[in-house]
Amino acid sequence: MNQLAQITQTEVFSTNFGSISHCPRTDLLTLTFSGKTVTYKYPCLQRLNKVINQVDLAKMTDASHSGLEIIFLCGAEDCFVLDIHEILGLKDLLHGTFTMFNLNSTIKDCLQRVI
Amino acid sequence: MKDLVRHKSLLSTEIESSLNQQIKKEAHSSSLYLAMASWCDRNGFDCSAQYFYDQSEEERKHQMKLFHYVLDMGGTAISPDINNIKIEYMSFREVFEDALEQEIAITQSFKNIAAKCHKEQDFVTLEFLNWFFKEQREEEFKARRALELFDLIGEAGTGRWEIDRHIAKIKYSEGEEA
Repeated sequence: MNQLAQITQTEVFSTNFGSISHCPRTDLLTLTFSGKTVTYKYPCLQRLNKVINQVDLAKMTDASHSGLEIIFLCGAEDCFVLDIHEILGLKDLLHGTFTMFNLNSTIKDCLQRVI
Repeated sequence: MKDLVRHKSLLSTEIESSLNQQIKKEAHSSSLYLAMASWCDRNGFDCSAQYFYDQSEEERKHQMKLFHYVLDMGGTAISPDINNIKIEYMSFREVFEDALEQEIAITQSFKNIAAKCHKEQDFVTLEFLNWFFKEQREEEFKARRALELFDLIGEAGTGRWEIDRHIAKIKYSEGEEA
């Protein structure tokens, strides 16, 4: 059953740190990162992107800072505890994913919608 | 892959963010006008107080119109956090000077959003914004006319009382003949 679910997923973007894939049947997005697999709806992934982009990286390098950030989204069950390298990795992954979403939208506009 | 971006929302991230900023500005305006109404009420300018109570309601309606548009188009409307509202004014005239400044700032802000819509070819939002541009014509006219009364009537003697009475009569007729 799990294998079947795996097959139906389309990979949106991946890096050495992790990947994000899309289920065409449910429109859910699966984020695999830092040893975790979490499923989000599209608006939730947008919120995660916003939260990650708001992390003050300079502050994380301060001696007084623990060096860890807890990334928690309202309405989501899971949270991430990430160090600065992982934050940068997740930032890259999300940036690439949203670039792919926008590219896909532009391609659809050009090929299917514009008469 | 499905076009998740477009399926989810008609608005781009940038336009959605601009509209949410505008929601905050309208909420700020509404609070500001309420503070002006409070000042006028406390200082015996009853007609001006009523004028600003009405203006405050109007701004709230603008805020909600934007709020519903963002939601209806598939975006996320954010309920704004408003603070630092000025509550004291040096003079009766200063209240109306601030009111005009506020309306000018709101018009400029809508112009900026419209420019972004043009750039992104978001003609749907642009058409929606037209209603606000028409409203701003009226709002700026009323604020400018109120200040004009200070020069026409003068503040000496019973001037301020007279100005207050005339504030209630300000109407915008869109160039129609009286």
